[in-house]
Amino acid sequence: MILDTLIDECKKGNTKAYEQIYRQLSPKLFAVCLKYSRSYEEAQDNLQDGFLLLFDKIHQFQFKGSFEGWAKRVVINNTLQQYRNKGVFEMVSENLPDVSEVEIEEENVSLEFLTKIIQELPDRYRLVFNLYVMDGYSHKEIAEMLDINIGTSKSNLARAKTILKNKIEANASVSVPKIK
Amino acid sequence: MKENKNIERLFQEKFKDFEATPPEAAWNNIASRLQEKKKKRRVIPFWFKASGIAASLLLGFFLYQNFQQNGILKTTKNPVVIEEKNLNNKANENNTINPQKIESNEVVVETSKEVKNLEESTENKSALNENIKKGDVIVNSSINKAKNSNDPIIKANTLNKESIGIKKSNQSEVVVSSSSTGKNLVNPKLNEITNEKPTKEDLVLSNKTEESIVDQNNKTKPYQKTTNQNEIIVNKANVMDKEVVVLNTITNDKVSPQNLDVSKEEVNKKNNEGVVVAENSSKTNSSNIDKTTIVEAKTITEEGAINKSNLITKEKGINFPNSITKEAKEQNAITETDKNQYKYSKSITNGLLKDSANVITEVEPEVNALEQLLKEKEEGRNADEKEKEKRSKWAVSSNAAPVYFNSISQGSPIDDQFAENAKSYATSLSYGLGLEYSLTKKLSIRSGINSIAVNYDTNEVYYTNSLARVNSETMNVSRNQNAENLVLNNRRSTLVESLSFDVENFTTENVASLNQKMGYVEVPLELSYKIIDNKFGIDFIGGMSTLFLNKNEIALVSNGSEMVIGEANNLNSIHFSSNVGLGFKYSFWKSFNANFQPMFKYQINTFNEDSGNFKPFIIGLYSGISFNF
Repeated sequence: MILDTLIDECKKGNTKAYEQIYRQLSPKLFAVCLKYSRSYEEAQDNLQDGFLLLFDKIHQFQFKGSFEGWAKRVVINNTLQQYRNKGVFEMVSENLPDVSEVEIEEENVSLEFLTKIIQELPDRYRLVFNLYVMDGYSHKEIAEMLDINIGTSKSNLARAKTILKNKIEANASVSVPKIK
Repeated sequence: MKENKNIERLFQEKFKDFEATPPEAAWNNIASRLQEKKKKRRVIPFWFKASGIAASLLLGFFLYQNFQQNGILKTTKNPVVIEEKNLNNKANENNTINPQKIESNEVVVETSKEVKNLEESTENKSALNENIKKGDVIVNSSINKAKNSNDPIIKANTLNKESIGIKKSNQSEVVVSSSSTGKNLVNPKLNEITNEKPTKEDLVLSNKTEESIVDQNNKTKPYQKTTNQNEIIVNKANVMDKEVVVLNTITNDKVSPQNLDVSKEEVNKKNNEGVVVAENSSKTNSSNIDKTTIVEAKTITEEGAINKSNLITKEKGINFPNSITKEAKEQNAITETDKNQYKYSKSITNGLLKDSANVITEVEPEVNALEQLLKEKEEGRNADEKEKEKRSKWAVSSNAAPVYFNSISQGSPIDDQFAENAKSYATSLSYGLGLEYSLTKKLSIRSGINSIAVNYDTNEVYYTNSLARVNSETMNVSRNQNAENLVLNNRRSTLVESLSFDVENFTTENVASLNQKMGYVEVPLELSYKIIDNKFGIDFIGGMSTLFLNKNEIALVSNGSEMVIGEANNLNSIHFSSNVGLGFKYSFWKSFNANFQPMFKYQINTFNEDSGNFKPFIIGLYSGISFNF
């Protein structure tokens, strides 16, 4: 497989192989960074750091599982590390009712808008929401990754969802007058 | 169209195939940082090779020393460390003599006198410092140092040899020299000695002006101080101070819990004092003993300076004007003391001497030029990757191990009659250096050199003294003169029997144990096969060792006293062992690995002819650090 050869070349320190890998993976990984970061600029920073870490650790990749999945984990972990270093995980947990339904007009919800409101979430809400909803981690895994307890993870998710719902609804009411 | 949607599903669907092309600048940044990293990587090995070897040597040595407090390792190639140990010993000796003789009145007088003298000497020196060119200052100050500091101390010596001034100096010296070598990490005992008499010492110290306390307590910024005491520190002991600063926190941590009532400032003060007086007292020693001490003291200086010269380049980016000046001075000192060794440092120094007024600005470009040279050299070498591969095939390691000695069968190589006696096997120490070369990815060949000493006791040996020489043909012991008349038995001979057969034996019979010591230089030749090779690795090791006998002694141990009775005459001067073991490694930093290797070594051919069915083996738990290059 071409990717495997590229990875091997990377392990040997071939700079061109690094670039090829970057070209191949960066769109997906940048999307991840956009979701996990506060802003476009921060996403770019996280992407750069993530790739540097990735190239640094590439010799540890054992060809078990997909490289993309592995790369994504590296980038996510790196991003989490950034926020962990900034000490944003010391928020009090609060219990909130779970809101799962949102009334929307799908056409009015753009990807850009959704990305924006994700980025606007408080750090930990955003991370928990992404990890749980987008990347399918369990609350238990999230609790370990972020060094919080499971209850906190759950309540953060609920809170994130509430915020997002409100924003989507607010957006709907602003952009399109309600015809109810 | 309006619909109710689960918010999670909404996001999942929307972001399912979400991709975003990052700006081009992102890759450019990554590429440039990758480049930087590569450059960095090229520079690192140069420093690490030297420091790695030094570190493994040091570690090996300290481990050994920790096990054998008083044994001086003669084979070590590092005279500096030995000398320091000597100094420490001296200091310890003085400490043990002094405490009884402290008399409060004299003590105070002596101390203040000494302080005065010290201050005088500083004044002289600082005057000199201002008058003479920078390049000369170092020479002069070192000479003056010897002169000025010698006089008061010797005076104090003659007035009252046990003055607390000297005592203090010695004690403080322990602190300083131990901290400068980092010995207190390994060897907390020294610190204990220093801190056993804190109250006495502090009483005396409190007689000093508060000013000096204020001066001295801020140890972390000695460079900025211009008062007398610190002038001494900076100019006189500039070699030591940096190390003291670096290790100061460590020292404090160790010291403070033991001196609950001594505040940290006071501890610092003591250390400070130590720096001042350590220099003096080493001079005192030199005047007392002979000039070789001076030479060796200088080697300490050189060692320190060399470390510093490494530090410059490491801290290149950071601007520490003061420390750089200091280092420059030290490098000058190198050229003074030894021109043949440390050519590398000398080349830096030569550049510096040309324009010593601009030392600070000079240092950095000088170092950069050197680095560039190095880079060019490295690039030339790195041209093809294979060369690099080849280089990282080698590894050096240091190791030390507790060694458990035992025999897989009942038997006694000393005499058949002791075969049934209980033996107690002592745990001893093996230490040495190793070299490893990888033949393939998995397989590597190892060799090295180890010192190993084993000993065991044969218990419940009864001995009497006969009046005539004993015919000891039956025993495998070549007796010395002390033991010619010694009768050894595995059981208590009945008095009646001995009386009736041998009147000469009419002496009391005692129980003892026979202690047999064997020391070897071991040269292993082993293959190791990597089972796991990641950050953490496991090797299987097998091979053989050649052991050269270098110690052979049999002693009779009775009631705590020991008498050497001779040596075994059935030990081969060269024998072999077959070795198997496991190697665990953990690579904790780039090319450095921490190793732990439990080894089983079955001894073959230890004894010629009559081994008394004694089949010795040793189990060694070797641990150490290795460095790949």
